[in-house]
Amino acid sequence: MTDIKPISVLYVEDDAITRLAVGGFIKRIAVVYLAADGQEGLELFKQYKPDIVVTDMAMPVMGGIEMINRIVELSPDVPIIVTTAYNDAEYRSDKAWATLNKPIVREELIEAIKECSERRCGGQDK
Amino acid sequence: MRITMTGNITQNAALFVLPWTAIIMAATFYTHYHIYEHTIEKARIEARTLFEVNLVYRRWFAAHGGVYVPVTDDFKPNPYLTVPKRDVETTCGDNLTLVNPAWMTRIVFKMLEEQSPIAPRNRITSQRYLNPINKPDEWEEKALLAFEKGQKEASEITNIYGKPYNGSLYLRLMKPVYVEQGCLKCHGYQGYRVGDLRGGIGIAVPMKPYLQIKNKELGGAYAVMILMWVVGTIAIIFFTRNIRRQQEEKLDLQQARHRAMKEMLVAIMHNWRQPLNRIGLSVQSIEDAHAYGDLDDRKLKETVSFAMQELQLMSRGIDIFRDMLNTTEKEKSVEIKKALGEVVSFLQPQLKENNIAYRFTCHVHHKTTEDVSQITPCKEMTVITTYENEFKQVILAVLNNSIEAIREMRNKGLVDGNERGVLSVDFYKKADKIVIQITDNGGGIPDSVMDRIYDPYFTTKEESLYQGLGLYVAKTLLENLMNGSLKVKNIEGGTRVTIELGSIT
Repeated sequence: MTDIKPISVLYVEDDAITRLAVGGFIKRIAVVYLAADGQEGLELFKQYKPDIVVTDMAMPVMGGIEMINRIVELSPDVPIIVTTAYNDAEYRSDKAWATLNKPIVREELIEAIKECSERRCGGQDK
Repeated sequence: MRITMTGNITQNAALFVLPWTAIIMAATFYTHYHIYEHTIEKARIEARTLFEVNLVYRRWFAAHGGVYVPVTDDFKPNPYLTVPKRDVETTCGDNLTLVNPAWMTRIVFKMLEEQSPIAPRNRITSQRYLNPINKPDEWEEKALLAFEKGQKEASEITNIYGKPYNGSLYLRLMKPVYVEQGCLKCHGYQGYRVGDLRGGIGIAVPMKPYLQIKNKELGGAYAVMILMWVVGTIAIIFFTRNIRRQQEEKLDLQQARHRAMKEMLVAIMHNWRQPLNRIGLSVQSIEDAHAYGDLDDRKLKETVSFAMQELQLMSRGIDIFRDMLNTTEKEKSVEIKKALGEVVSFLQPQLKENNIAYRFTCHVHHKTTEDVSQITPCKEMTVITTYENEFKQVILAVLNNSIEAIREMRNKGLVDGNERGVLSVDFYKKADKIVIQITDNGGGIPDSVMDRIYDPYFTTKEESLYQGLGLYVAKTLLENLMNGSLKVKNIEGGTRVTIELGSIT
């Protein structure tokens, strides 16, 4: 990567182990903000305005769908990547740019983040 | 899981009722035939008795060569009697005429007829009759021919002389009469010898009184048969229905077990998602650390040990799952609180995922805990004899149902997604029974679904109607197998399921 300013990613996941592991992967290519639930995620989003949001769906306090809706209200263009363990509609969001099934595969996630970053930057340049 | 029963109550019952009806009908025909035969036989006995009496009188008459009676205006000599000294005059000057046996019996039976409207009738007849009134009729002709061939008796139910007499049918019975010494006085000139067939004496017994008795007997027999048929049919319907009910209960139980297995599969699926993801990430983090050059001894050991822990957890999940999957062969002592704790811990990933708080309250020991691992067994109060695995399946099904209800309500946007689901389990002791109450804030069960829980064919209906199915499964297992009960009640904002199980050992 030749970015002068590295991209920033908000990663929201309630499971601490997953959060740390996946956060570690993302850290290799971006600045990461970690949140344990939707509520915390929304706060961090407002605070840091990250380039990309990666979020789990089923979470306590505030679930993924609720948080995504709030974020899209604030910034309609922010790319959102959803990670989910289930195929059920309730664990998906039509506002997501990409949906990754668990178990999370590192390469797929990194690829999705990069793709979103490129599409977003492209969109902004034009 | 659509299972259709072959046949129905009507068909099952018909399978037995039809042969039963055939047996009763056969028995009725047999009885009818026998009563009729007995009736005729009774009349025959009367006719034979009269024949014998008749014969004895005749013999006495014949032995004395006949009896002389005074001739009057009403009693003239018999013109067909051609013997010497037929008419005699006494020393006092009275005119007497000889009465022969045939004449005597004719007179006596005529008197009998005048005396009673249902009197038996008597006829003496012969192929070689002297008096034309003794000429055999068609029936008698046939009988006499048969006697010539050696037959000893002829009888038939018939009209007499071509028409019913006094509105009644008669039993006509005729027996042969053979020439005896006494007969020759009057019939000797006809060339008879002792032992020759002389003719026959026919007795006609009116059937009316016999038929009246027969009808009464038949009426009684029919009544008994009808009663037997009705009682038998009712018994058959009752038993076939019972058999069917048992079959249905068995089927219900089978379906419930089937469904319970599905509930467990869903639970294990949820149970495994997170550990699988974590192990996957652990493996990948080793690769990641290695690629970025920060894989040291400590990180490697920590990661491998963590992955192994997760694998152990999954393995334990399998053990619990395998145990729960088994059908319990025999009831045994089960520590209910411990079993309950196992099920809840099995469901923990789902509770966590769906943001559902869990609270267990033991009202026996006044303890409340939100940590599954703290559900401590208290043996003296909570051990009962039951089917352990099925008990766990029941609890799993009920808890799954509550989780489903909470999720459903969130999906429909009926509650704020941020509101926590609450699942509370309350444990009571009531006399020698234990009572487990499982309460959720999943919005309660719609009436339409509530009805289905009590519908025996619920499991055969729309699979998509998930809600309430778990409760039906639990209810079926409890009631059909465990002698327990399950009641569902909607409470403010949710549902309360009350399970009762007896009795504490």
